Order: sequence, then structure tokens, then C-alpha cells
Amino acid sequence: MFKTGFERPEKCFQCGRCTSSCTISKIMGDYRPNRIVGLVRHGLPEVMLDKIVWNCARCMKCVEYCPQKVAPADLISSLQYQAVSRGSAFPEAYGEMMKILSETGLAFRQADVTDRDFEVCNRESMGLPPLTAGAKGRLREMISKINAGEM
Amino acid sequence: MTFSSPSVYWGCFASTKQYCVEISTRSLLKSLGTNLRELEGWSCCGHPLKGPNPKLWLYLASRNLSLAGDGKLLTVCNGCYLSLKEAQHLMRSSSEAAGWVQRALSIEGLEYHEPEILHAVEFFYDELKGKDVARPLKGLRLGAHYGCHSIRGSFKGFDKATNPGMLEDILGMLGAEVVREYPGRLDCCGATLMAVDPDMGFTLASSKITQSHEAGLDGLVTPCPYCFEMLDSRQETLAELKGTQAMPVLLLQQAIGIARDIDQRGLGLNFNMSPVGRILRDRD
Repeated sequence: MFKTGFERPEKCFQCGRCTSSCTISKIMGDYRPNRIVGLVRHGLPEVMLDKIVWNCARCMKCVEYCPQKVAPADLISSLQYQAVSRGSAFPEAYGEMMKILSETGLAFRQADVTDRDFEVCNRESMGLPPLTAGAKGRLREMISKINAGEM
Repeated sequence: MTFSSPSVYWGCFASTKQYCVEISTRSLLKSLGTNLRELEGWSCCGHPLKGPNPKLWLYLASRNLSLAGDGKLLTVCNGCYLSLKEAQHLMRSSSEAAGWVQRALSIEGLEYHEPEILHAVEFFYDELKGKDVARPLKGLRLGAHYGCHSIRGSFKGFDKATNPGMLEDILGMLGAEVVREYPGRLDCCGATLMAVDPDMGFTLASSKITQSHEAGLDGLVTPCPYCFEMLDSRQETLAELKGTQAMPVLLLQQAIGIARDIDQRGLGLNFNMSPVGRILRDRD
């Protein structure tokens, strides 16, 4: 698997700016991005990280404030991928989204939405044109190829 | 500089659930006399799957770029903007990623392209510059909520990540009394956490709204459908779970549309769950 993020854990000198800017650290004291980067650098068992990597809010503050361009949020993204690849549990919502995406090409199904006056609305009733999106052409096939590891 | 006939990338959320984004954007582009080009066969931008399924993220994002061609591509969601910008940045900096994408796209008979990806804030800023507004938002103390994915990332964005001002500049053009700095201005709305730990998401959204009260704001304005969902659509839940006080929240396109005197339904204001009546009442 090639690298899809911009993480550079080897450049980290543990200044802790990522953690002092981290959205989650403020409400969950034991979540510390600098520690995650440190654990990766020292090659400690990834299993220790499998659960906590899903707590990232992806606010990208750590990416912005890191003086070394370590991009901790990207590192955490790649740890999420490693966790999934090892077969460890991941949030249910992603599984559901994957299912809808494989069928429709979109992350959600078109929904009827109730407005403030309790009127039930959909694209047609609001005069919106039909969606030009969707799993057209060979997209559906590509999604299943990628998911099956054939690409 | 003006942008002529951009393609519009709607994104899943704005076109399947948070309809006021698509409705208000269409009305606004029409009132500005800007034609839009629909992208035929677009799909999810891949953003939510970037962590668990990075190859699929990259494929979906690059595929949408390839459909857009080499012109302007307007995005109306922070998540889509970040996803497409990150994919483009990766394609420019990694020959391995670029090679894989090009091979994969060719199976679908597609070719990779490099559109100019525009965020709604930079797009509307340019569109509005030098234009009069019909009904200025006079006397309203408004604050900007950018949302993380409009300003931060590994690529060069449209504004300064640690101290942006373009969204406030737009509110100024609309005649509002702009509060340019308040605690938590650049904080996260918590949307990503809804898939993992909703209570943590609600804590962040509530803190954001509470801080806007402390700054004495009459309303918050955001360009992002997900931030809008957290800060507007979920206000009843926030009041119930966190005791959060109500705060009017508008989408950027709605705020601009109100100042341009576009009718309320044309801006999808019937979908706002926050007390936007407070903002609209004084104007009727």
C-alpha cells in the first residue's frame, strides 16, 4: 500500500504542540497525539492504538500547529487503515456508509426531510432537478474491485 | 477576477439530506447571474472513508476531479473541499499514488484532470466584491464559523489557517456588524465524532454555541453543511442533553441571500431549526 497522507513521524521531537492544540485532548485527557506519534516511532504494539485512533475529530489543528510538519492527523488516519486491515473493530457507522456507497455511489440515501413547519420534503417536491450523481458506468465495479484488494 | 460557468460539486450531504445547501446555492447563483455546469455521474468525494479505506477515498476523489475537467470546480461542503484538495495535492506530490489513480481511472475510460477547486467562501467573496446588496444585514452582530476543513490541511488554502478573515469580509460586505474575533472562533463543530461517540460531538457543538453567546453574537454563519447540521439542525438535542441556549445559525449562502432579498423558501430557511426568526423578524 502506498502512502496516502502527508505524515512524517520521524521528524517529531515531542514538543507537544499537537496535543496542546488537540480538540479531543481538551475533553479526553488521556488522548494525546504526541504520544501516538511517539508510540509509532518506537514501534510499540499497534494493537494499543486500535481503539483510540477512532477518537480523532479530524479538526486538523495538529497538522496546522506542528512546527515539524509531522501531520499527526494523517498518521492517525493511516493507523485507522492499519487497524481495519488487521481486522480490528471499527465504528459501525463506517460499515453502513460503505454498504450504501457500494450500491449508490453516494455516502447516504436520498432522504425525505421534515421542515420546521412539519412539511415532508424531497428533491422533487422542492423543485430540485434529478441527481446527476450515482453509481453509473463502471463505478460500482471499481468500488468492489478496490474493496476486494484487486486494485 | 470573476469565475465564469464553474462546475458545481454538490457532495452527498447537501444533495440527499441537508437540502437547504443545494436550494440556497442554486438561488444565489441565479440571482448573481452565474451559470453552473452540472457534473454528470459524480459520486461521493470519499472523505468519510479516508481513514478506514484510503484507496477508495483516493479513487473517488480523483474520479470526481477527472469528471470536472480543467475548469473551475465550486465545492459547497468543507469535507468535500478538503477531500478533493488533499487528493489533488497527493497526486501532485506522489508519483506512486498518481500512477495508481491513472491506471484505475483508465479502467472506467476516464482521464485525470486538474480543475481549480474553489471553496464557497473564496468563490462568493469574488462574486460579491463591488456589488451592492439590496437589504444590508444592518445591526446584526454576526460571527463566522469556518469549520476545520475549510482552512486547515497540508496544502495551501484560500486564507490564513491560523487567522482567516475572508468569511468575516463577506459578512462585512453584507452590512452586518462583524465580530472578527471571539473565543473558539476556529474550533471544531464535532461532526466527525458523530460516527464514533455522539456525546463527544454534542459536547463540542454545545461549547461552540455557548462561546458565541458569551461573545454577544446575534447569529453564527457557516459555509459547511456538516457544521450547519451540528450547530443548527441539532439545537433541540443540544438543549436537551447539554442545556445549550438557542442561537440563530445561517448557512453562508442563506446570509448572502437574505441580504440580496431572495425569498425565504428560495434559501431553504424553512429547514433551519435554530431560531432564525430572530434575524428575519426585524426585516419583514
